[in-house]
Amino acid sequence: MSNLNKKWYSGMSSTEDWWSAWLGLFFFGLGLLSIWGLDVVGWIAKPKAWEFTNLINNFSWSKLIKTSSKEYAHLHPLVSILITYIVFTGLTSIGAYFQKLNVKKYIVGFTIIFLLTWFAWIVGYEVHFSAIDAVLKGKNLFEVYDLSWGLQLGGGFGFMLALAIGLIIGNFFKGFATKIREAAKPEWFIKTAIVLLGIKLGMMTMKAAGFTYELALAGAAAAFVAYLLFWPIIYYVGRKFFKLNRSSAAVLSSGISICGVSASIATAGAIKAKPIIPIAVATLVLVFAMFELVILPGFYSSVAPNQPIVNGAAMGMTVKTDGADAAAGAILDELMVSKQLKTHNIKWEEGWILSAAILTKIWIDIFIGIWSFVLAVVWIRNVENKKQKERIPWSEIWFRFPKFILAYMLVWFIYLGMMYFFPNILDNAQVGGNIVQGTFRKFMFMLTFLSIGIITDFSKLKGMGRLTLLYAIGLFVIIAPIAYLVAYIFHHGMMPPLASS
Amino acid sequence: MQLDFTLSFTETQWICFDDSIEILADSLDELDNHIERHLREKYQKGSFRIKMFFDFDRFPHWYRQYMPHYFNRDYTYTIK
Repeated sequence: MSNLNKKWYSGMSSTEDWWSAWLGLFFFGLGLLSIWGLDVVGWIAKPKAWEFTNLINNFSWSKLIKTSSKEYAHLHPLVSILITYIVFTGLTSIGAYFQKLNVKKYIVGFTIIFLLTWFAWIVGYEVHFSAIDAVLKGKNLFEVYDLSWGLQLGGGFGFMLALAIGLIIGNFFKGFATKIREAAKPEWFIKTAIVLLGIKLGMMTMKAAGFTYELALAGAAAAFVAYLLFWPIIYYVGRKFFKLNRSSAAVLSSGISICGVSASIATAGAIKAKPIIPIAVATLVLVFAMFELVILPGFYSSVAPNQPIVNGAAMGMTVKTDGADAAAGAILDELMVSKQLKTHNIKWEEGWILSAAILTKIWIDIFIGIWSFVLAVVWIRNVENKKQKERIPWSEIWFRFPKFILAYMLVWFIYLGMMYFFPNILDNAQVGGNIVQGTFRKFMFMLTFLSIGIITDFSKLKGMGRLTLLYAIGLFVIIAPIAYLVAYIFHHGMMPPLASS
Repeated sequence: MQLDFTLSFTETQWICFDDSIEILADSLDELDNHIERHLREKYQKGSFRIKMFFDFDRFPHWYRQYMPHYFNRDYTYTIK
């Protein structure tokens, strides 16, 4: 059976990209039913802040987990978890079936990933890890639980724990990792989460329309400038100092400087490189993305605690792959919001720093198809010397266009439409919308953290010598500093709005 | 005349095929030369629009989640 892109609608039922759009839009649609007073999403379980000794002295599941809306508060927490499991396993298994995954293996893998994810999420809400020593929603959890110490990481600890569990499995229990890898799909999970983030963007626009548009435009400008700077520099360094051939230099340049694996595949396709080249580059991208994900959020939040949006945008330009970028953006958001609250007692609204990271990355994703098209034309005219007339079909841009972004934009525009044309239904729409963009989205993020760890195998760097060296130099010496400079130029002075207390 | 082929690869070679023919080559240039020879033998003369659609199923599953398309080719070849 073949998987050919012949028609504009090819892949609509078989690629994870389209399935991110379908799944995200389905959840979004469920949330919208609250316009008519129907709460069909409030059953989803979410973790509660809890304290270890308090739990041990008097164990109760209701101290750990609750439903997302009061409509379903009568459900036992474990029933809520069970419904969450059935819905997510059922829907993603349908997607897995159409993506031609092994459904049996997928369900087994997803079940294990689901349980580990919930373990990390619940542990991450233990107040010694999560609580901030400040008054939030009328109470200070430090005082409520009489804590003598705390890491004060907000939700960041759960993310990091999920990532650590995934990495341990992926690198020390490789047999086990292989068994559950069928369900470890970070790109699918994160793209679905990004579609749901469209709701957040819609709500953010309602709150601060001018700032949101400014953020989107600045992200586009920064991504465009970054493209023009990163790619030629890395290509030149690869050719001049590392003596790479044209194909390898081009593919690696896209991998390091644009958007990791997807850009390297798109570029390799555009210049018709042998598929072994982007597959090798993909390995490098994935492993280095993990280093970036682990290092950069802590680094940025420590070095530039007063530049939240600059940090987010720089993250979007530096961290490769959508999954790692969104994951890093989420950790950065948690760390910076917590730190600001802890040190200045100022509560930035959550999600803006993450959105800065995502918006920049989304523009980069959008440009991939156009960039590859231009590169294909340049390659045919200037590098290849063919006797027959080869044309580059315009459809190549469409086939490389990330479709989940269409769903993200659609969700955003629907919110904008409601804002401008039906403002009276907004309050009701947000009831469901808040749950979908809150708990649903965060759960997809948690799945991403665990999955991305499972598929990352550091030992794959062995034997990749000079490519690894070029990647490391390119990323940390060239891309990261320039990205930060570009992010600073376009985003400095932007601050997230304050959260309503 | 339009001819549609499926394009794929092994570890080292490109493969181009339809219901009647399968051609293997080390490079795309070599592949095009084989196709040209095949057309000459079969049709002697004429203008041909060649379309090749890359079979993305040949990529490993883990890899497909990042980008669902490699490339399609579309070129015209005339035998006089």
